[in-house]
Amino acid sequence: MKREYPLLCLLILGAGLISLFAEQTDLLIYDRDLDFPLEGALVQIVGTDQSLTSDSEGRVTLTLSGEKGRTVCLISFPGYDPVRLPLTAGDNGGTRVNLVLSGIIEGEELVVEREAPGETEEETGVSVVMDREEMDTTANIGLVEDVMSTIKTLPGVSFTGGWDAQPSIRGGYPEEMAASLDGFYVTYPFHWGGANSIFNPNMVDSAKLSHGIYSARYGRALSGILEINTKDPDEPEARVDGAVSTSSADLFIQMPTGKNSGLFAGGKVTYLETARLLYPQEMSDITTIPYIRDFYAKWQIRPAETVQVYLNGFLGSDGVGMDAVTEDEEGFSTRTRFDYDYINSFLAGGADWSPSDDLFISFTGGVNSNVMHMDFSSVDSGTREYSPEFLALYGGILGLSAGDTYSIDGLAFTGKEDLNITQGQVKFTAEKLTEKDNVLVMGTEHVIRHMAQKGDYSGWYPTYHEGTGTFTLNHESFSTDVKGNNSWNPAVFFIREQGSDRSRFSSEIGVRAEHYYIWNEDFSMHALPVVNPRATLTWRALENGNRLDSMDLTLGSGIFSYFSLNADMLEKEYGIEDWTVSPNRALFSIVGTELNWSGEWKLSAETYYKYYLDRLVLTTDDGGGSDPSQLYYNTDGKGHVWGFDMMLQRKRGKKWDGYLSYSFIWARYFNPSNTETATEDSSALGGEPLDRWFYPYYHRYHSLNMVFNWRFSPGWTFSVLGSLATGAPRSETGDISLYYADYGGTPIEQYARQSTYSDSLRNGISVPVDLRLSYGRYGRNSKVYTEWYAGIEDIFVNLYQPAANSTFNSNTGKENRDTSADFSIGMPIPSFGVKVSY
Amino acid sequence: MEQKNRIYRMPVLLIITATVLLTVSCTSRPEEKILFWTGIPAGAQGRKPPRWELNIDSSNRALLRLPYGESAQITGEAFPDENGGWTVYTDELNWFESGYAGWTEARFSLTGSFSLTPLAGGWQLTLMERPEITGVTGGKLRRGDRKVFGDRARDLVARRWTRVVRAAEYGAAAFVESDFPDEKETQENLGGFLFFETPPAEILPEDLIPVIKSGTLAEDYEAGPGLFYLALSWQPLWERIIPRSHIHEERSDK
Repeated sequence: MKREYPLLCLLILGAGLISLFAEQTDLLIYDRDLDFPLEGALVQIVGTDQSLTSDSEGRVTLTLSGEKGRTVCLISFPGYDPVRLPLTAGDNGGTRVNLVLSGIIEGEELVVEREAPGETEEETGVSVVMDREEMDTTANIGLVEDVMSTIKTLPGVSFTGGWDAQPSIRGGYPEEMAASLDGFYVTYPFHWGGANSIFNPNMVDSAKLSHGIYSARYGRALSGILEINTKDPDEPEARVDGAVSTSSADLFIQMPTGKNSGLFAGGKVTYLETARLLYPQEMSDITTIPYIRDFYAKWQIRPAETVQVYLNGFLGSDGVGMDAVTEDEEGFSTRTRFDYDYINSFLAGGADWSPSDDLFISFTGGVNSNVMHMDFSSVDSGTREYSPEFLALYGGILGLSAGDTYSIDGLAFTGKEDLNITQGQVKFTAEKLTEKDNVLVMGTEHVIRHMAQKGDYSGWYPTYHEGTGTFTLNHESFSTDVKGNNSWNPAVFFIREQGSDRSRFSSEIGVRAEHYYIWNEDFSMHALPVVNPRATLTWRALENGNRLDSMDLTLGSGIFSYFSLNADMLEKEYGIEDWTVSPNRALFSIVGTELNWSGEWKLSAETYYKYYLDRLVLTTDDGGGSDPSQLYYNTDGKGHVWGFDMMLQRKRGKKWDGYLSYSFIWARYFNPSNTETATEDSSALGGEPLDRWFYPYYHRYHSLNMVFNWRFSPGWTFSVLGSLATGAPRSETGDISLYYADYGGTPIEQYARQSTYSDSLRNGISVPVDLRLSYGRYGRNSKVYTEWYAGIEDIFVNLYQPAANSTFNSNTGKENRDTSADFSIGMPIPSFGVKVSY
Repeated sequence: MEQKNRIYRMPVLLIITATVLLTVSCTSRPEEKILFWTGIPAGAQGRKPPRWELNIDSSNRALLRLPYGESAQITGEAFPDENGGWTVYTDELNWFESGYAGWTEARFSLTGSFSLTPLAGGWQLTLMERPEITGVTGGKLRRGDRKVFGDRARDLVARRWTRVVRAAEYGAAAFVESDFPDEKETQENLGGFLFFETPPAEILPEDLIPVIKSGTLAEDYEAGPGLFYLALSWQPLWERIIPRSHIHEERSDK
């Protein structure tokens, strides 16, 4: 024991000294791509003949000499590229070394790798897709940047002008298009009564307009579905996108919230209030400067490789108000008041799960809320002398003479409406891969809606009497009061998909069954259930040819249905029985082709026919008296639509890109009357005729759009966005006639003219052209991107405006012939802005 | 007997204690120092001639900023020698470049080493093993509105680098005339053949034709001309420029 003490000390000393100058470290050697350890990998210490071999866990333990300063290892394994790894004493243990199989492209061959112009879910005969790069110029212009500005330039979409974000899709009524955001139906996604949509391009990843034979997965629409896919917060680093322009500011932030989760949030606010600071006098009549306040957030998590869960939320509000008095030279004044406020919100979520390689399950659900208040009035007041023309016609009968006057105090049109909609929805879909490229899909969807609506409208309206050829002025009123109508719209669908993007033949055959049930405290009604089959067949006629990359031909047909929002206003007094009323339904067939060449060019052309099997027709009838009008309802309306549209596109060329789209649409509808009396009127927007075929108010035969982006110098882009559209229908008007009206016992002078529907008369051609110039680049050695842009909308507005029927003053008869069919503010609208992105 | 054993144990305890203290003291932080050199290529002219900078911190980590501005930095380790000089091993090159359409971040693995020897009036750099880029170990990209991270970004950068190196090899042999091509010369010479839409086959190497004709190489150039410049100038940088530079020690905080 005594002799062992010195030895023990020496060992301890030696160990201590060695510890100063030597360390052990572990290497973990793995296959990089397959992520498994490599057993038997050889580790050679460069400059020595020392070598080690990894164990079953890929582990090799090295002793590093601190005295040498640095050790370089050469790690190799048969079939893998060797790796040279320097190590120093003090390096942490457990260094992972990834080996890559030899011959992998990396470092071995030159790969042809063009930036893909955007592989999308676009399908011939079914849909058109625009991704965020393609929307960059068309959506980011104007007072309010809006994805609908891009959608309105697509084939099959009728021209609407700059202040209408609700277009007609392939001849259908604007309300026949549904909108969804990440699979969730969004009710009335518009601001300012339809002038702009809520879809901010800064929150959108892509927009897909499905206006062909779209899948049986989707319903609640006749003309098409606008599917907005928002950006996924899946980047591992934080990101900020902001923009400031002449009228609004946007800010969106994306950030990881965990290893596999992220948050995307932001919003927009307008500040047109600055116009009041600059022009206080001119803006004094605007009681509420038009405003938009939107906020959006999306949170996403991937708790496992096969599961993804997400939550979406949106809160938006808009409004406008005015109180203005105008006086004419005759002494009459008109006080116009208008007050509009709207709040739109939704909270939705969903989950996607792949329990196995051949099974995919998704669930979506959420709640939507829309609250709208509108209040307007237009009141005429004043005192005026009877005109010589009036005295000549009526002076003798009424005992009037030159110099006599009359007064009007409160000849008014008024309206007030409050609307409150709450909608909940759930959707469940399961997809099963049965064999190669064959998928069976089944699912169910339920939408429950609660609506309360109260509206009161009244005013003085001229009525033309055919027998006497004269007018009388009558006070009419119209009221609706729907207290808590509820509706339930369930659907089930079954689909078989065969083939893929690479197949010679691919098809989708499906069927969707829908039902509609409405109820309130004293009324309920089951509509007729409908079964809507749909099928498309696509043939890839050519692929990788000499001149063409691909050519597809598509055939498709299907039945589509939806229940109009107006149907929610049904109540007991309509006397409608169960199982008698059908939703709006249409049979739609299409033939299309798409050619692709040079990796960036695309030409698509489609022709279609749509026959409306059933359409909701709403009418009113006051019986010719002063009683409030009664509402009537039938679903016997018919319609025929056929058309042709095409698109020629160059996607993301080096110096220039853009597209031309053209649509020809022929659309005719028929509304049968209910009461078959002369006092019955259609309640549809635009005053449609009854018991005859007609073109709807929005119809345009031809719509041509051009988008051209020219990158004339690095960082610079000059864009031209032009449209050319033939005019919408205008009524045939008679002469402006003077007539005598009894206003509370006082004879007053009034003017009116007969207006009847015309199949042949049209407004003038619309030719708006917008220009945009931008310069953007990243700062030197910086990840911050800055883009400055300037735009101007409708540059020809002062030179040309499409002619429409003239207007006139009903009190004085003075005619204004300088009216435009398209709404404008009378001057080109400039916009400037800067966008910053990190 | 017991007393002798107790006394004999004392030296053992002292030796153990000394050993422990010595071990602990040797792993404590050395005195703080930062060494900083700049090298200006011989013959460089202008108000701000291009220069490279070498920095060795207190942990003997070396940071070499190449004459491409802030875009290119080599990291490695430095070991002092008995003559007051250093041996520096180059491990990694970190690269960043931004332009009009996006930015590229790349991490390259390096081999190589050089020595830094003090002389009267300056320092001398001698290559021991010329630094070589052996592979791409990481990357990040942004093109337009889209960012790419992780393995996918690394693979994209790696494939781009392979094409860039090949194009630079051809360009150096066919066009470049000066000892150290600058960015302008790179643009004039490489840009001339990168954007052919129908490249003349008799001039270009066969493996370059598909990537030129498809526009891949043109897109690589638009995404980051600096990588081409890096590839073209790497060899002359290490063979002629850096070793022949005037090297001054700027700062030595002790």
